[in-house]
Amino acid sequence: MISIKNVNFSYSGTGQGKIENINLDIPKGNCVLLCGRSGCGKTTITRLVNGLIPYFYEGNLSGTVTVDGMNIAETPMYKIAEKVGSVFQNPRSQFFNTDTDSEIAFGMENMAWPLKKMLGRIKETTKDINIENLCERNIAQLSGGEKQKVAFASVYAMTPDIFVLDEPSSSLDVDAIQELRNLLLLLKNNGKTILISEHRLYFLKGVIDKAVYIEGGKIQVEYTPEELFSLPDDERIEKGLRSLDLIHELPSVLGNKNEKSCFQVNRENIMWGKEELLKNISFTAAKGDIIGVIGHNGSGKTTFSRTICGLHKYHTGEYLWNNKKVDDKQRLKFCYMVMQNVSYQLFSDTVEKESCFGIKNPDKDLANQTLKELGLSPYLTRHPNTLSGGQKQRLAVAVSMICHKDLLVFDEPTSGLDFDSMCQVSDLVKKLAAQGKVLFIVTHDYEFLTLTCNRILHFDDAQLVEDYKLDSESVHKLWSFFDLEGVYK
Amino acid sequence: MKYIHTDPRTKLFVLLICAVAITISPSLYYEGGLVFVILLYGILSGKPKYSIIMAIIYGGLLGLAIISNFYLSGALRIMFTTFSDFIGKMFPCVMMGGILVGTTQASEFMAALNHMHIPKNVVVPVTVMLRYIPMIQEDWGYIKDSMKLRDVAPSLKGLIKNPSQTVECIYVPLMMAASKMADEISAAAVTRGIENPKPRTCVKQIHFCVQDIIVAVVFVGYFLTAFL
Repeated sequence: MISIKNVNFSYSGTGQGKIENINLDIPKGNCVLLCGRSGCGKTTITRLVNGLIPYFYEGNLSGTVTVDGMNIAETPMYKIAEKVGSVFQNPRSQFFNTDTDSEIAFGMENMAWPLKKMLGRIKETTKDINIENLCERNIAQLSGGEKQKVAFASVYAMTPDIFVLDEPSSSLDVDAIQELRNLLLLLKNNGKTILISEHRLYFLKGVIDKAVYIEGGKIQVEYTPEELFSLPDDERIEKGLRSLDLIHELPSVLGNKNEKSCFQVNRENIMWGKEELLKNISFTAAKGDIIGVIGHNGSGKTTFSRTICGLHKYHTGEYLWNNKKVDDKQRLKFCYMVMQNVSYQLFSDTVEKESCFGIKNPDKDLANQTLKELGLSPYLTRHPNTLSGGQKQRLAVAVSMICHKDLLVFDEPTSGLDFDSMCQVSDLVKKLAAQGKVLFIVTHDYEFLTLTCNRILHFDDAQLVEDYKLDSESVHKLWSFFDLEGVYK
Repeated sequence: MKYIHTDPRTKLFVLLICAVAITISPSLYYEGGLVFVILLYGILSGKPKYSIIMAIIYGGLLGLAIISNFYLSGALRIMFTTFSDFIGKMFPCVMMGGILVGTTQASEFMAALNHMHIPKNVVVPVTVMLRYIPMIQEDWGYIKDSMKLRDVAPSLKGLIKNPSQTVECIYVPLMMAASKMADEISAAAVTRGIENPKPRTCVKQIHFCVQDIIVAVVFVGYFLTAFL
């Protein structure tokens, strides 16, 4: 179905993501996983198949890619689109319409299907994908997982034979990942061919027929599913791959020696419009605590973290910092949030200027020292937006250290990161904790939680359901939240 | 209340009428009247908040122009009248454009452009642009948050005290987000066959109806009063 022969490609203008001598054959009805570190070239291979290379991304291409008898380089994009459906990483940027029905029809409209056929197909699609509840909804009000399902539906409705998915799980929560898995199984049952590039591997057990490990733009090994899922841990880690079976990842942080609380939240009620988003939240935190904040989509985690930082005004509780009451404005002074998309937080044209941006009388020595500590010294004159995702994140953290922030919230710091980058973030967080900061980590990433956090706050049903120290005994609570003993057993 | 729904082609036509009306406008009051008509149209189309805010801003500008005409003299008067004149000239079209963007689905808009036989290589970028505009609002929320965390307040006070820094704060991340987003949306569009040369169909059928005629007649009628 898909045949890639002797393909070399490099993007014009950058050395990132180039591939060399790729040979890959995927028979009809097979599901093939591309895995490897960030920047290894797995996304590039997906683009060869859906035609974005050479059509949309320019560069040097040699070799041939044939999909269902079409030579990709010589076929117009719209013809490829009828055969190959693509789902991308970012649910936000795959939409053209504001309502779900028009969006599901988008691809069919392009293919000029008659109205009646489209309406019938929309019905079928929403039924197959189980999103009848999302019909006639405003897309802006959907969660990331729901958006991803609608994007999927829009592609599915076009009835392509081949599906190309580029890190579809990166911004999804536990439930949405499980649903993604079900969708993949549905496609397999319908005899579709699937090419998927992913960092998260555990949910693909029982789905894939082959895994291709890529390193430095070359195919290093091809695994059968049995081989991949029985890789010994040291070999997997050496290859930079994420966990293959989450239940084997046990908590690695041994509590916090400091028990004296310095941050206290009392009887907090957080409002969103007229609705009470979270009710009666009370807890304390000590310096050096690394607190994982978990909960299902829409449980108010993000609003909760914005409230802690003093960014969300509509709440009624009381906050104490070192036993002194602090209002929103005061909290803004010592709290900081590292956003999921750090690009919004970087304002200057060089890393050096960024580190002192907005600070009256900046302490240059501290700034240089901090940048050095976080490994950013080689990039002082670079534009922040030319840095990699991980470097941008470290720069945002450096800024918080230079501004003397004592409480940091990380919002989904590991979405779309490979194993190595995840470990780097974890080390950074632990380093901040060792400096006596209080840390909150909002995340859906089980592996990262067990690697990094010593405590868990679990929000659901508008309240703080549980607040516990994370250790080898309490970890089963996490298992039940992530449903590890169910589907993935 | 059910809002009136006009065909995107009617909206484009009205936008054109507004532009022509402004160029031949006989007086400041004529322009004010035009903004009033747009305000009514905006409210009826389901954008009351936006339309009223825009009308109030325009009213302020108009007031400024009138007052400066009466009470100021010399360079200051020229400065103020030129300023309010300039903004006043652009305003009706900007306001109408906002209503157009806010009330039109991208797929409707594409269908309309196709009916008008506009070539694909114009339709695609225009649609992607139209799609991006509502996203700016979301981006703005994140940028406002990060500015507050850095103690560079995104307020009028901040803008006056520290104009270049405030503008940089908004402009740089917004541009970065925009270029990345435009890239990703375009990629999603081409992989879903947006460039298919077949005449595009649309689930939301577009056609002219009585409402379109009324809206067109009202605007053309107002336009003609300029010649009275």
